[in-house]
Amino acid sequence: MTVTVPGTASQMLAAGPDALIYRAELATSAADVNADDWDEVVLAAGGSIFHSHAWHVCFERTAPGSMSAAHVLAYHGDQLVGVCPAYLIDSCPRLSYALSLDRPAALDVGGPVLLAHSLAALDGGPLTLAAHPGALRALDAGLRGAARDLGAWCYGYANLSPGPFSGWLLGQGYATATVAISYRVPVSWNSPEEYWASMRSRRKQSLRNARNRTLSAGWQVASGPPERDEAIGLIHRLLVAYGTPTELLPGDFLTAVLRDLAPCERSVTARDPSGAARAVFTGWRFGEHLAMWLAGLDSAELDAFEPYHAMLALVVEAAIAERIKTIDLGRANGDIKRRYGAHPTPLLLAVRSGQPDRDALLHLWCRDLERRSHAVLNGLETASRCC
Amino acid sequence: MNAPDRPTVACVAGQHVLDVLSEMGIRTILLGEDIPWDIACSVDVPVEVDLADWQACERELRRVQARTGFSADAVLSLRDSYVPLAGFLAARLGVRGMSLPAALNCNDKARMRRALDGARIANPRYAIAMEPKEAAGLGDVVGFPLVLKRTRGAGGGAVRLCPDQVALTAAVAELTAAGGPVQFLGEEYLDGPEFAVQTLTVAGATEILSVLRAHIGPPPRFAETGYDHPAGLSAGQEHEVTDLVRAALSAVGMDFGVAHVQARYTEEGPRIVEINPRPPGGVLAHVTQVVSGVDMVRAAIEATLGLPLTRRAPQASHVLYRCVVFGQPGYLSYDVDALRFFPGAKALDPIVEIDADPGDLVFAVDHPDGGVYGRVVLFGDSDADLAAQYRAVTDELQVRVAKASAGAPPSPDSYPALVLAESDSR
Repeated sequence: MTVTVPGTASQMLAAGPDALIYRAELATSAADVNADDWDEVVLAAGGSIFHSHAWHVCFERTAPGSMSAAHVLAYHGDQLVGVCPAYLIDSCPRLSYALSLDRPAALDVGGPVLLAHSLAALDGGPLTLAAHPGALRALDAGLRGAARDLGAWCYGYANLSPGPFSGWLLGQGYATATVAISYRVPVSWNSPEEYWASMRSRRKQSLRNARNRTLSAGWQVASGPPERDEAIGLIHRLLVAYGTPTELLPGDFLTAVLRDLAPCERSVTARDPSGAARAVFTGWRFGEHLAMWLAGLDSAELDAFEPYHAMLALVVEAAIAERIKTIDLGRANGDIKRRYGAHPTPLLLAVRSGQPDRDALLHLWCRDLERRSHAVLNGLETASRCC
Repeated sequence: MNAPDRPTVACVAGQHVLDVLSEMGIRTILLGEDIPWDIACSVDVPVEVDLADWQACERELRRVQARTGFSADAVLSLRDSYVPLAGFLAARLGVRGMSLPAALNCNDKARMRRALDGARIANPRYAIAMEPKEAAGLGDVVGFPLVLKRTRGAGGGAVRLCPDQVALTAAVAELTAAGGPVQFLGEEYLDGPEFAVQTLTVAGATEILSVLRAHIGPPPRFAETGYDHPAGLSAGQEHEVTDLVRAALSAVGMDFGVAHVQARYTEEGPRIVEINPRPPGGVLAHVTQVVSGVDMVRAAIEATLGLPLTRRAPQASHVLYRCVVFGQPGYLSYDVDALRFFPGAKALDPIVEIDADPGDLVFAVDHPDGGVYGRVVLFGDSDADLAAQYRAVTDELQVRVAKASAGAPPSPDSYPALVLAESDSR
């Protein structure tokens, strides 16, 4: 079902004159929107799997917690020119965890949160066709209007990358925080040989040695996923090893994601000399973007992530061969990912309610969340969970 | 319940602002840490509280309100580090004050750059490093020379010009040494004259109070060594600078309050260096009052409380402000008796202050322990008037620095202070 979200006059004025030439609509399911039209916007805007139509159709049905889709769409005439996937969240384990960290005592979230779209993903927020940058502000006005109409306690964006839009949100009064870092490799090499040749020789040698240690011990590291149940088991064992509740990524959710996104899957699996799958990187290609979202490890059998280097090297080599432009290697292990050419990209949370006293608490919460994230990055605190 | 003719302001830290609040007859609740006895006696309600604990500050203010019946009409701070706290308290209590997002956006140099990007205001090339290891790579993104800054709370003391990678590595180590998590901003070095723009914003509309040409000392300290009014810009250039400042304040969400904005005029046009949501330091606020007729501290209070602005006629059109700085280390000499000719008692009297005694060892302006050792501020109605006053001051003071050599008495081979050269450059 789609409904027009006009936004209030003040919201549209705040969004600027460009916003007035677009029409914002609310879709309560991605399935109500033509998949090709949706994906055309995402692909043209350089979005990843986390903005794709298939991801959201799957996420709507199986995402952990309790939420309902409230996607904001921007139209120029009859043309879909912008998408902002969003969910009205009653409960979400990741959001609950974030709220449990540093939450001001007076911050009592007394209603659903309208979020575009999830702390679970590696990307979020609105995307528009390049010829329609003004649609971004129309989407924001649409999100505000939807928050009002749906009775959201607050609304905002999760896992935004820094850029003009997130900067504009700062001026609009959104409370923002860097809540995680994702490590991304811009792929500029024509061949794996060129990639290795571009590295300082000492680093290249060290990384090759690490890979060779794994391979010469009889391990096999290859593109392709293990059996679905095996993959889920490995992912859950790694979560448990880091004290992270598996309810963040429940089995039925992972099953659905692995099944529904299979055509885009670009996973890498490591098998020990007996042929048993011991580690996995699960990722998907969408357009020119590869997102390695989840890692799994048989932590009962392995003390350390022994095949890690061999798997990372293969991810990069395979991406170069496939002419991928950006590899998102996901969160954590920045020191190692940097050695493979990754750059840290902050993932921002931006939220507001429109009520000054409530927003003040959101700002305080975000300030402290960012301090925590920053202290972890500086090695002054340890993360208590892996995600 | 407040008497209708006597508003109440909750003020976070500060000293001069308390004097002005008192002069204005405003009831003052002061929040501070270790409030000195004399200051505690000069305010209506002193509240000692940990200013880093925003929720404790809110609880204390509510407690004061319940105990005394004084409810704050506004919350205000004119200290950089406490402006966000004042914004938080104002929002939580539902009273007047600078918006919290604006305060936060000005307080963090990286947020300010991002907010300007969001409003499509031209920034220098910049990159943000969230930890020291990453900062070593800032030159790859920004290029050299770059200016390295800690993003929060350290002012000019945490800014270094890095001409190359060696300097960047050293600067990162130096600025990290204090401990605690650090975030760095690396910015393309902006080459061009610098301007200090003083503003007053009421309900989002910004008035320019003064535009001053700033003289900046050499790296690594970039000490401010002087100011001129008029700023020497053409009418078109001044419009460009003031339009940029208005747009930048709007981009960060400034709604009520005063600001001291630093901008540089580069070959590509003006660029924002920093936005400080408070009056300028030193005697620049006095200079602004002389040339605009607006007392920035009083204006900040009036804007925050929603009172009509007190505005007087400008008293002078020209100002020459020179800091006492030195080109070389050495032993200072000057005629102390001459200072009595410059009591600075009236508004337009020359201000002549030297913060060191004859015989003191002083350091060069680019030395880490050096900096500014005093100031000469002159008011007039023409350049010629100022030049004549300046000659009279320097002739009377006879400031000299004798070269320092270990264990030896001051050498007769002395040379003048940089303050003289600064005058010639006007």
